[in-house]
Amino acid sequence: MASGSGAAAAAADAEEKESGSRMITLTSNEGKAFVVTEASARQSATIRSMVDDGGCVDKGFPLPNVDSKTLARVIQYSDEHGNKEPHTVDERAALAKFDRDFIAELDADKAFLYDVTMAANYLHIQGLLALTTQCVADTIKGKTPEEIRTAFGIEYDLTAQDEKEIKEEDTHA
Amino acid sequence: MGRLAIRPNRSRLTWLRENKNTQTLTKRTLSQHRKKFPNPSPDQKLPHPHRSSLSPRASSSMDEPVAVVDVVHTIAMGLIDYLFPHPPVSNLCAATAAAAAPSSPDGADRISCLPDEILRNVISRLPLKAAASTTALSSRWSRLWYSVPLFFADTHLLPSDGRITHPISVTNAVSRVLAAHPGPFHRVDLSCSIMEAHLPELDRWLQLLAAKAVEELVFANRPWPINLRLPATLFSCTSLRRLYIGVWRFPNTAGLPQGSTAFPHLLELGLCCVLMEDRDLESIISRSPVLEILTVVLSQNVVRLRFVSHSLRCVQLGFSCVADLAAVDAPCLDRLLLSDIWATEGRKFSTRIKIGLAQGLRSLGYLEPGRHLLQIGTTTIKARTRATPSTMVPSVRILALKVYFGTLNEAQMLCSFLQCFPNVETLHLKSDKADELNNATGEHKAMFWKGAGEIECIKSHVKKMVFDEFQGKQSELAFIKFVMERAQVLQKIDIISTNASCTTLEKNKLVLKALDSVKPASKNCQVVYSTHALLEEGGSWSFQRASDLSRSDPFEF
Repeated sequence: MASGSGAAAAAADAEEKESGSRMITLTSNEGKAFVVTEASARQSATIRSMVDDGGCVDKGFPLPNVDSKTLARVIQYSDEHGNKEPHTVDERAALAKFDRDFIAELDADKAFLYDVTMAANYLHIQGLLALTTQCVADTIKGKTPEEIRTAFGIEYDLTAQDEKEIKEEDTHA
Repeated sequence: MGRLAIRPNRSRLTWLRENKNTQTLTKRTLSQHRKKFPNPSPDQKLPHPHRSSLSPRASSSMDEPVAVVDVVHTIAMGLIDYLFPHPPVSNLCAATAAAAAPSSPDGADRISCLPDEILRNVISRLPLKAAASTTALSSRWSRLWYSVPLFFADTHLLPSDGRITHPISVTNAVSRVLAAHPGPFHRVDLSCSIMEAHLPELDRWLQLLAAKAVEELVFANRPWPINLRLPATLFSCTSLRRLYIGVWRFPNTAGLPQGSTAFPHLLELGLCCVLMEDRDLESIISRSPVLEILTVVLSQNVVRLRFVSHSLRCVQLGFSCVADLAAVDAPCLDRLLLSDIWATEGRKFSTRIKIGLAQGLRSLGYLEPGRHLLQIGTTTIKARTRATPSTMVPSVRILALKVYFGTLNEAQMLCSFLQCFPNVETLHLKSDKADELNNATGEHKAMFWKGAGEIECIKSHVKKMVFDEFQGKQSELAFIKFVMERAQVLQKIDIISTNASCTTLEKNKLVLKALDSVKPASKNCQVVYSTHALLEEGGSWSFQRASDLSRSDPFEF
């Protein structure tokens, strides 16, 4: 009997794990706590592996590299992607629209976009990282190097020698 | 062939429109390369676009935008688009990017502070030209491109309308890029060159791909001819993990040393419109010790495949004439997928499908009881074969069958086939629209199912049945009734009509009303009737999706 009820409890536990109904606390580097569903948290491969390794789910996860503003935005993404599983064409379209709006907003504030990119990289949220790096790539596309420098505030520091070589190659080619 | 939808990939077209100019593409690339690698690079030895070593005839035929070639090319590329994995492309914020204003009000260069890892990620998402031009931004950026594994598709080189007006310049640009980038080559997609006119390049490219450790290669020859032999240099690309080739004759494996390994890391092999000897296919399977996914589509020759492999997990054949398919010894085989295959000489002879040692086989289909000769172990399954343990494949959980319900023989064969798979939980049925050969349908087929004996999988295991391409015939209805009355753990029946008009839908709904009076063996059985349009998203078979081992049901869209 004991083993039977143990198995039932294990099954219930597995079911709970499966459905992602547990809640997980993530703490920003400013000490602010965010409570999210496990399904949302599992968007992050970093957190996923800690949870699966039997990590301290109850104590929560401190994220010393992420500030509150960035974490809130990252959670907005992982909630949308983790808590819903799109099945129909409409649901997929809605998720794609969410991504479009999400990245358009970030694109308007490049400094914040980089913060979110760094957080996505640190937390290993592949979908979010792809979205943000693609956004930067799209800004680079179709521009001359000078335009790219202006768009990103990159300082031109190639030496005169470098420049001469490039020019020579261009006239030769 | 009805399900083969040739439609160019939308994202790829969008992508093409962004790439403006073929001619000037690699100037900077090359100049940067020369700066970093002062030794004369091998690309300098390649023929110059205007000093082609080709015969005048070949040269003129290539420089002209020949309409016929373009049409053939479009079809071939459409197929390749449809069958092969796409390069990841996204264009989510292109609109905002176009209007991007200087975004650092304080002028701080924050992007250059991002770690190399992220900047490389950004560069890897750029088309070749833009990626190469990042080397001219600043000293911070100048070396990054060279350390980004090359991700290159020659479609990047095409002008905005995607037409290949000067194929030779594309071919030459490919030569330069492959020579200039130091590697490794993460993924290279080549599909724009008429290789027959560039045989020295063909060999040189394969040498470069091998030397720079290409991991993923998609290589399609521009037809014609469609049976140009791919050089055996291909076998020196030992770093390959995924290989998809289209419109080639496969290299002869006879020259490979006996018992040697050809592709020690190859996980996926896709052959589209490839001509190859049976022994070459078998030889390459046995020489690829970790190969998991094999896809053969539109084979130029009759396929006879008997495979022994301790790594293959998915084998799929589509749109091909198949005489023999035998999983002789494949303990890891999870799915054996057949889509639109036909036998030699019309329907006179059947395709022989043999399941030998395949203890892990979970998904199988579409089997066609009327056209396939199924052999399990040493027994060929016939209409009245008695099920015994030696004629069963107990591991199969997902079974797909394409059945013409209108003849008694097929109904009997369906019973026999089902008996072979006692543990099927998900049953996908597709109702074949074969011409009504025998108009005396109706009663006796309905009677057949009334009197049919017990079928283990239906009685005790089938939880879900998908009945696709329902046409509202009594013979179909009789089978659905049979399942409902016998299946004790059935939870759901999905009945689907394809491309049905409103009147057909209403008519079918009326026919299905008859199911209301059926007393189902399972208390929780739900019957859902729906329609889908064939060409809508998810409506057609996808080889990529079906071989995606992370999806549990390859037949579900």
